[in-house]
Amino acid sequence: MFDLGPNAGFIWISYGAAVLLIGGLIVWAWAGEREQQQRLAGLERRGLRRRSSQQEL
Amino acid sequence: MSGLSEPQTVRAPAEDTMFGPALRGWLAFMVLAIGWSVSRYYVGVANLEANGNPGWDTWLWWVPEIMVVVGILGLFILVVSLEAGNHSRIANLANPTPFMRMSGEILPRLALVTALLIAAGLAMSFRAPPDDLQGQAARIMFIHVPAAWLSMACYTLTAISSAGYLIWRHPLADVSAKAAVPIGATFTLLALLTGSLWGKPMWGAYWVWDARLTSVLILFFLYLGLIALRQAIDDPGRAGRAAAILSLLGAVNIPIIKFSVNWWNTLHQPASVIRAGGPTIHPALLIPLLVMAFAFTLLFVALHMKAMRAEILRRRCEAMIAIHVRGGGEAANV
Repeated sequence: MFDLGPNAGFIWISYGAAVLLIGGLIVWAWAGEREQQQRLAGLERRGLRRRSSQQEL
Repeated sequence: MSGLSEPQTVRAPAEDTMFGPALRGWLAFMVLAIGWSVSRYYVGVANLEANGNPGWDTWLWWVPEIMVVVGILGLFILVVSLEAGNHSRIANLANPTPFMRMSGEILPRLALVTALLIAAGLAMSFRAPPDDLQGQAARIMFIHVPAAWLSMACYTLTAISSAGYLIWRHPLADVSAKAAVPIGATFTLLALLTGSLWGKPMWGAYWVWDARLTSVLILFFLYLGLIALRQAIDDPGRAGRAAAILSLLGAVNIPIIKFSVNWWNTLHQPASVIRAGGPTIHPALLIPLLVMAFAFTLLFVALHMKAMRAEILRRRCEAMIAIHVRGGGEAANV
């Protein structure tokens, strides 16, 4: 696809590491919020309320 | 949710209509600027290869890149001005509920623009001509340099947030500090890995104990220490204060990293972009580097916002459980 010369391996591994690490960060960030949203919804279904829930809807 | 009589339920739709058109306009502006920047860059490189005159020696060439920068700054001005209009004090921005509402509206657009900018940066990175001395291996720079900048910027944000938490005891400052650390650690690891992979073909070694590399390795250990410290202390308040103190102590490492290449005789090259006298990199390589740097910066902002939202929700859950436990009931099952 691209002729990256004799150091192509170093270049592709660098970009691959970037994809893996940044992809992992994105999954961590999105899954983290989703998990907490589900946890919060579960607590609310069980009737638990926040102290400030009456001021903040 | 309960509370039909609560006034805030009436106010929310009006705020949505204030943010909506402005953010849609911002999105259109950014798509235009990014698309124009990529197409102009391809034309410039083609001209460079054909007749040696790319045409980017006049300021007019840089209009699309200037538009991207103005767009990024504009987003923050937009948010602050609209939030300040909605609430009587800008300080309200630092409260969790306005933050959750604001970030919920901004994040989808910000994620889209970030993805576009990363795609544009990658397209430019692989179109850039090889460097005269380093050849194709210089393409690692487009990943390594933004990651290294962000590793320091992220720690600086952590230290500022920590100072905010220690001085004003503001919970959102602690949330910001905690959320930034894993992101900063990952960017630091990426900078170390790509630096090592760049060093082998250029220096003949994956690692040397020179001042720049060693100080960045210390930064990585500081990030790991901050994560470990929070996990080692059960009480969240004490953990937050201890992590804040450690992050402020570690902030001394940031100027050491930045100026290590000037203070000591290092194998790592000296500053070549942010330096007195202007950048020493050719525009053919500088433009993709700057686009990637802006893309990584926006990515960091989006990831930090998302991680802060998760932490705020986690604290809400913990607070609900704590209230329930104090009031008796079925806490053990929660």
